[in-house]
Amino acid sequence: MNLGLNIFKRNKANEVTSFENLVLKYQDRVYGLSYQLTGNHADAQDLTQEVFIKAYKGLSKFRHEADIGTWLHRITVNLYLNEKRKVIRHPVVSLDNPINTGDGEITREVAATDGDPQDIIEAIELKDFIKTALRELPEEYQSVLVLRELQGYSYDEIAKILDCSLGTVKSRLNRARQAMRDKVSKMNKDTRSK
Amino acid sequence: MSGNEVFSMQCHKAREFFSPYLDGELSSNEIEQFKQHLDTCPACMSELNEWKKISHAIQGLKSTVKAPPGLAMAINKQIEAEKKKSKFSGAKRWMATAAAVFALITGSVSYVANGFWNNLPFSVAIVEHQNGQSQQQTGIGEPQDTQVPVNNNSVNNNDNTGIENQQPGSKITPGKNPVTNNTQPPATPNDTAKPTPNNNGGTVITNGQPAQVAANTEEYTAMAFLSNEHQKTNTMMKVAVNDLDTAGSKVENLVNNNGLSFSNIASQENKKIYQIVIPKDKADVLIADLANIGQVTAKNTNIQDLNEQFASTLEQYQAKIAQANVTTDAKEKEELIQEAKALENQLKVWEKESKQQIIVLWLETE
Repeated sequence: MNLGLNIFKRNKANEVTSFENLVLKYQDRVYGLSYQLTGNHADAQDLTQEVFIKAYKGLSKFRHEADIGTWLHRITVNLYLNEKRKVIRHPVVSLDNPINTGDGEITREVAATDGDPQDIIEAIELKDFIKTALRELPEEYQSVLVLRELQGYSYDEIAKILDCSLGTVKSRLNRARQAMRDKVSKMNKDTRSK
Repeated sequence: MSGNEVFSMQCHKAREFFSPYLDGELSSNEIEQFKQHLDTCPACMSELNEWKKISHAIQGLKSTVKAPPGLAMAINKQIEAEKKKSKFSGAKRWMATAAAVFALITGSVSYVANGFWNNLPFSVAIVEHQNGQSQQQTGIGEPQDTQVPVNNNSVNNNDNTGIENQQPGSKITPGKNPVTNNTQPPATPNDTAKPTPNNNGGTVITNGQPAQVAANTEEYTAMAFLSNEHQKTNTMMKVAVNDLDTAGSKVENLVNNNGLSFSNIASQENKKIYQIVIPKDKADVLIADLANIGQVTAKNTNIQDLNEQFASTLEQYQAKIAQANVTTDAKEKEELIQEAKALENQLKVWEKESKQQIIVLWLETE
């Protein structure tokens, strides 16, 4: 990403101004991933701040092998994983409790209309269910899924971000999707049994 | 996938392809193999469809989330704070600052010494006054009549046998350090810029040994340096005190009671820095007394061994004198004397520093 590199080069030459520019330019990208990983705005803000501070301190380590956005995402994921950010400050959507959609409470009976995950999503806008399932995955699975499904990174890029081999990315994504599938399946099963 | 499904090895292999297939990361050969399996395995096909749905559902979570207003400002503020944080720890910061202060103080001495070295013996001279005190005087462009001949020990003087330290007019005593000639009257403008021959053939002591070299009718004598140990000792100490003014008064009393003088290098609201020069043998007692003024938070004594450079410089100095005394070329002689004088003054500085200890005392309120 040439634009990113230009900003970075300017950053080296004119540290203060350009780092402010860098923050302005990349804050949404970093915040977006932070929010996808943490699942709530409070943690996303904290994580985003930490990412930029760490980036500032580690500017000298940046070797242009990736564009700045990817580099910042790498820091984001690493910080998230290393610090075991699993604090879910937003109310966890629980299958055992009614779900407040803003238009009144929807209970599991609504979701129980069909065992098919897609139908559940359609029935009660089950983004929250998916989000919940995603949140409940181990951080490594969650991260790789977010990077792939939400950020659209290729396997190669994910390998670089996570600093692992391509084979690891493949197997981890497969296991992550399997885990996700199992969780959704369990949700359906639990819903049906009510 | 239902729990009743039993996968063959082929199905297990196919399951490994699920993710790469969904992500378009399979090679064409792999895709072909995979599709062949799916065509013959409804369970895998059904399972793959479930994965697809979930994958789409996750992608459905994608939304344009923008950083909240003010976040960038908060980040940049934090970065500013990071910048302000010293790279040094408190102790390191103190040591670095103290070292810098010390370098400023002691650097001036070295600067003068270096000034002598840089072919400036005639423009930077030790002017000996009648009261026996020497004063370093930078004198580029100074009137020539303020200077004295290069080697004070060899000044043309009827009583020229080397002059005992602080004893104007006294004769040199073997084993003592002859210093400059205090009885020499101010030189006239006509004879100041060049060495005056010693016609008297006075005895000169060098390191306790006679070291007189005759050259024509002019003789130059090397100064004797008798100290065996040449070390520069500096102590930096930081003392935390409750009341800066009270502590400052105590320091000044202690210094005055020892018959010493001090320089107040810095005086701020929360700190005072003193430089005290003290004879080496009295330093420990004073340092202990100063430590009692408050809480010593840092202390560092640095001893710089000057023996090697002193010996080497002394050798050069003596060689210059010897060369000056044998040469018949007046210009060369003058140059050699100048060089010798520069070396002599450097040796004097080291000799003086070796007998003293410099204490830099840093008082700071807690």
